[in-house]
Amino acid sequence: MKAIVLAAGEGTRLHPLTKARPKGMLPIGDKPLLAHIINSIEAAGIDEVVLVVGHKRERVQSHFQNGDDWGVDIEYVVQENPRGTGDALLEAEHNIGGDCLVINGDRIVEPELLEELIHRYRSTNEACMAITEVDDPTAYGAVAVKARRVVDIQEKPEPHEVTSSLVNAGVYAFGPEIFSAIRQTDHYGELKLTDTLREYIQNHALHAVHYDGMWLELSRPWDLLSVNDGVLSGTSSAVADSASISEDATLGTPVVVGDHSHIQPGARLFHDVVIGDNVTIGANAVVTNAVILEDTIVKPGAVITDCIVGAGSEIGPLNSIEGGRTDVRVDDELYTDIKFGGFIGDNVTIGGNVTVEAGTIIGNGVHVESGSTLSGRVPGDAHVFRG
Amino acid sequence: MCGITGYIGRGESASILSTGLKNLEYRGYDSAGIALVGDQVDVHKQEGTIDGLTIPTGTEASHGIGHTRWSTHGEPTDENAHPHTDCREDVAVVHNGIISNYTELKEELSGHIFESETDTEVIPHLIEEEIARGADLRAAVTRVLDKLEGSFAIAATHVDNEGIVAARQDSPLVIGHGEDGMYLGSDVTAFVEYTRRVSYLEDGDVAHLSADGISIFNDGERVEREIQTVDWDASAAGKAGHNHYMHKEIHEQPYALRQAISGRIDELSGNASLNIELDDEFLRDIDEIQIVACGTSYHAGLYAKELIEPLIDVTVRVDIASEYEVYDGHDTQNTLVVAVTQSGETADTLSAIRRAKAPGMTTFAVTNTVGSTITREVDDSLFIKAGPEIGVAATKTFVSQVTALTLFATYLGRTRGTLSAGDGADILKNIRRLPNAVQSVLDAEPEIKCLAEQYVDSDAFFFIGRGLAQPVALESALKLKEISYTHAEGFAAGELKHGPLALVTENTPVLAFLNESASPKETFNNVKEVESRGAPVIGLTTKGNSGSFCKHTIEIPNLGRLEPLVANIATQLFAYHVANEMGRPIDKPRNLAKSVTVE
Repeated sequence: MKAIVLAAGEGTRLHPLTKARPKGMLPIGDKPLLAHIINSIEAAGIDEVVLVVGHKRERVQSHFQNGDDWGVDIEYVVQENPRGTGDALLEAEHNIGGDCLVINGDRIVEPELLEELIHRYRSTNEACMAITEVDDPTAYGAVAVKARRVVDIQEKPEPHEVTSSLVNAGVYAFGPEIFSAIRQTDHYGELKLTDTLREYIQNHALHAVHYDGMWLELSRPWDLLSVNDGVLSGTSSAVADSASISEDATLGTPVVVGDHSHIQPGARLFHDVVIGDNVTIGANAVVTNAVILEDTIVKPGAVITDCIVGAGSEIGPLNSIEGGRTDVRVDDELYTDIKFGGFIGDNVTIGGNVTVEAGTIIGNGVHVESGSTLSGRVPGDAHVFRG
Repeated sequence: MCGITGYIGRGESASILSTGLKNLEYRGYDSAGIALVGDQVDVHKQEGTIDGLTIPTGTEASHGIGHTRWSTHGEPTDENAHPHTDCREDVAVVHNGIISNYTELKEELSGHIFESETDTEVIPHLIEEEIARGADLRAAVTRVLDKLEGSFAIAATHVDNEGIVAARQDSPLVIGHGEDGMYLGSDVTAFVEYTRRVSYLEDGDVAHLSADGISIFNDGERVEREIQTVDWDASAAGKAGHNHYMHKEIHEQPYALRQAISGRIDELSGNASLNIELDDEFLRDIDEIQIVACGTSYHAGLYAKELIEPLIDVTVRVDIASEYEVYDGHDTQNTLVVAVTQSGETADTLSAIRRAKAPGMTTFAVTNTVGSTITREVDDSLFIKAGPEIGVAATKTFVSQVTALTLFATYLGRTRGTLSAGDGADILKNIRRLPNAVQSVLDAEPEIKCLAEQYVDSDAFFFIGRGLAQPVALESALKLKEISYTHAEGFAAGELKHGPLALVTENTPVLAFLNESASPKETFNNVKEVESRGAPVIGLTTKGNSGSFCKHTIEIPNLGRLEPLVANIATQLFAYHVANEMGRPIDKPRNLAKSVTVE
């Protein structure tokens, strides 16, 4: 049995984080999201993985190579344009030729779930879908279950349509007949796997496999903080051997420091900090509950709290990102009381003494002059003058 | 050039040999073959790529040897492909290198039937004669070696003798110690998926590989060669979903660079930590650095010269290795000769280093290959840590070479006291910014691809730049011509008007390096010269500067003196997409092979 991981989507809701990288390459603890999925696949005893990639796929390929370091063989299949999960699966058809495990590449799954799916599939020889319980099913595919079979699937139901709190967890086990079912699915626009399954259950069994394990979902930029906190809570600190940590730096727990990074004297990393590769944390900088992507430089004395910083950015000396709870508006939707100190994109350069108010989202390539105060949303490539 | 592979053990010889050949294909690919030895010697060989070679399955062979060829003596034909055999087809031999006295040897072998035009074929016949006189295979090979002149690595088998006998003289040969057998290869990539425990043969070594181990002899004495563990990743030997190794390697550059600089930067003292064993006193006293290199490595040397001279009070001369000579009267005491070679096996560079060593000059190597020949010949080495590069067109190793040389320049300046800690720290800061700057250019691949598609049908491409950008112009042109076969030249921008301008037409795009650290204003005058002849200009400009006023612009992140190096990533992608659009075999350009081990 091979595992297919659908990782071609662009993840536009996570912009600007996902402009230059696929969602699967966002760091969760000490490795990218996709690495967690591949680890689970390997732990469940499957060693052949087909990765369906698209948007900025070279990032995935450079990281995972042929899978040797993960104990699996990885084949790559390219979905050039996003045409839906069903289409992505069809792209991988030639690489499968038999039973397969299908995993949406946008959230962490635990190996126990994969094992249970495989077990149920093998004992029944019928298609299986993992389902899980959530507080608010309106953002997911709500499913109705009878006698351990999925009997109805409803994409993103309106609140008044909700009949159960069970949703599709995006993990399946299928036999080869799924491919012809996808091809026969009527579709307008994107070809979604769930559209196929809705037709499929009219005359086939689709087993529901309950999952009550870790359910960590990334859909808005600040989710990266809570998902990281969730994963880190179950682990101890991980500091790469190749990182250089000054004796006079203070590292709390849990923290992650990536390869080749430098932590200078007097820098303090408190709890829930994830530092990527080749990052510099300057002298006396204080970082708490933050995710900092690769190649970024934090200058001396900066304070960074509840914040995500993209790759290749420079946070000026004595910058203050205070953190805390706030309301954020994204795409005309208001999210209230979110713990979110701010989001700073890739390749942003910020001068000294800049204050970033909670909830600020700064696009990629922005340049901010010294002494400014930032709030709200700063579009990509803007130049912020001191007002 | 050429690649050699060998295996003896419990595994399936045929499939292990064919994997080895695939992995060595970058060393040559105009013909290939294997010899499987069991009850008889079974040779399969033909002209063409390894994919075209039929490899038998399920054979009883206990061992075998294989070869992928890059022709030097004799055209690529089925007959000239290795392995070569003797008259009785009992002996099989593969060979990398040149036997310079093969004409005389062939005359001595009257009565033997020769089937090929190669220099190699004398070897199996010479072995045949020795075995007929009662020698075993190892004794026969040892005696034959005394007669051979030139540079070579060979592997031989005989139907009635157990094992493989391999010998090295000036061409690389590596032994792999696996759990289920012994491996032989021209380099580690031949067998890295089977074992990472290796030992490197030295010149004059004769090794006898048998199922339960190896015995090595040099000058008749039994010798031991240390077993080392290589950390090269086998997975790096696959294409990982890319259409070409070159594309994969271009995209790996941020990773390779982070690796290249890891642990080597001490920002607090503004110095590079490089474990240089050369004496500080000597480094303070030198007044000239001579860099010797070939091809892309030569361009890395030119870049280093532009970096080093303004920073450190030392003269830097860069020589094409095959042109390098040491003249009488040169101050050999206070000169450091630096060889730049990716493989560490480049014959021209090795021979230049030997010419430098003869009058006693101190030598230093900048290379990617731990355990390579050059590292044993020079006084000290600096590794670029770029990981294996399979694409014949060098990409990530160029960038890593320049990075390593920049670190070395910083170290030199700090050791000599001519570079302040602050200036050193500034250089090091830019080095740490390099991986991200490279990534930013990679992120712009779709736009660069569009430009390549637009201009793919051009008559020629010209690259112009000054100072630091001039070597990048040369390198960019080399990349484009070697993989696309299109005419491409790099020029010092100021030289255009002294001749090459005559080549410029509406159908010759000019790529101009207008980076801030490379005299953009002056180069822009040259842009005007070509624009007025109607040539479309693609300007590579510093991001944030107010436009290039060229027809097209590719923005490069501002990175001081390393910025032209980052601009090279854009021209790598440009060359790749031009060649890809033309349908060229990008990883195996015609007539070229990766590590050139013949002079």
